[in-house]
Amino acid sequence: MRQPFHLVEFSPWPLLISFSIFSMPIGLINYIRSSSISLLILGLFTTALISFLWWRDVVRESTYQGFHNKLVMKGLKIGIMLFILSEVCFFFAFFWAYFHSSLAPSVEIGAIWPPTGIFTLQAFQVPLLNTSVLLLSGVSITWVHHSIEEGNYKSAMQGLFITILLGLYFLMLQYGEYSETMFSISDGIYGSCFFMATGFHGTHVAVGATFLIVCFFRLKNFHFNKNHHIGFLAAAWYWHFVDVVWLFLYVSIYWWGSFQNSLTLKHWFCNSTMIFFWKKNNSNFKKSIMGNMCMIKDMYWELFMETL
Amino acid sequence: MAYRQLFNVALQNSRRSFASSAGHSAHGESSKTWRNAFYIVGLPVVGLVYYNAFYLMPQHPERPEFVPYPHLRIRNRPYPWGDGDHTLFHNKYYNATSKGYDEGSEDLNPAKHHH
Amino acid sequence: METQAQIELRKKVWAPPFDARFPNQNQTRNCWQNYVDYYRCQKLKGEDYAPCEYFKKVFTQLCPGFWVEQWDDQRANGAFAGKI
Repeated sequence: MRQPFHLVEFSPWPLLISFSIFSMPIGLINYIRSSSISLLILGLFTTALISFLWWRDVVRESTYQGFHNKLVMKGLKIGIMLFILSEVCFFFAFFWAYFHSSLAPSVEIGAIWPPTGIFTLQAFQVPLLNTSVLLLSGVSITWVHHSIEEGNYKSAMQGLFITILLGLYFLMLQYGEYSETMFSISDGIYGSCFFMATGFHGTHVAVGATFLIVCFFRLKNFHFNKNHHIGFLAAAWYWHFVDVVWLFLYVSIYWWGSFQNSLTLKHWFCNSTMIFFWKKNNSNFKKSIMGNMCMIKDMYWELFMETL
Repeated sequence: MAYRQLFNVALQNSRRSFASSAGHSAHGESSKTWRNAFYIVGLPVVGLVYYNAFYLMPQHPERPEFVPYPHLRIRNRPYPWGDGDHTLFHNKYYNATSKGYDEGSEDLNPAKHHH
Repeated sequence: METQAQIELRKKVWAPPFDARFPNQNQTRNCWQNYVDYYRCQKLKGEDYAPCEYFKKVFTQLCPGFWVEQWDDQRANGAFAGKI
């Protein structure tokens, strides 16, 4: 039969992964309710294993058997886009929960956002660094994409390696942030929204980084060429998606969500200039014009706070 | 066996494709732009943001007084790990359990260990 | 013209007037805001300042009794979420 489609062979993976995915939520509920973690671990392990084996088969069908012709590639691209669309919906739900709770904060949390007793992270410290790291990784993955399309193998390898490092650095910074937050996932609606949204984003970065690492080894083994690199394309789209989600998280949760109790821009300006230029001699700074401005503004700030 | 052979063919095709493109003069134009954007613009900006985050901004503030707000430290059922009152990312200095800060954690401010 | 009896009745069955800040059917925030305002007013003006009592009149009408009990307990523990 001559037709341009890829009719896949019989495979055990769809059925098996259904079982293993099903055992993940069941295992999670079992862990929470009866402290037995074995089914959860089994579910996570088998899901990871079967995913690996299934995608290994896809790589074989593509690279070694050559089933991914132009039309199949088109179908795959549509599939990837639809998958990313479903991920958008997934995160949309968390943003909905967040804005529902923060735009009209309930009386139980003091009718303000962030809730009474919640001390947020400082948006212009590590979260801003995280933002710049992810944006930079967006630049480097574009550099990789262009390198692959130009057939510049060495440049592509270098850029991909750097992109992966940036992804891992982001995860490291997030871990550092998580271990120094003044609130936890059990601190009411703020903790729930914050950790659900940023935690799921973090796991998506981990998955995206794994995807990029797979692409790195496939690139190393010459699986990609100038006009056939669907695997990389999917990883790059996914990476951009994760990047964009972070921008929304940063602007809405870290930045806007901390207006009530964050350091203001004034604090940032005065503090950083003071430490940067006058670190060694504080009294000199206080006597300077800038120092005077900061002090006067501080006084107004105190007065303003008292009227509240 | 068949995989192996097919792989070798694919590998040769790929290498040929990479090799042939390396000869073209058009090679390296737009990827160079992006690589330069990365090294010349991106990296220094991230470096500045890094410096701001870790050297300019105040680090490790004092922890707030513990207040037993009913909307915080919610423990409808114990966590399945430990004593059931400590979260997964529990910070001895900054995080309180439902009973308040851990005993003897007043002096654990990370700022005191770094500087 | 209202008769004297009608005026007496109106005073007896007084209900909080419409508050433009809380136009919705759900009056939770109205109740809560008046509770906070009452204790804030007392804090700023002293407990004998008569005009503060208006807030109390409103929130005792609007709030379910057990909410007020809960909030009173929370204030006693210093754990009330509102800014007083």
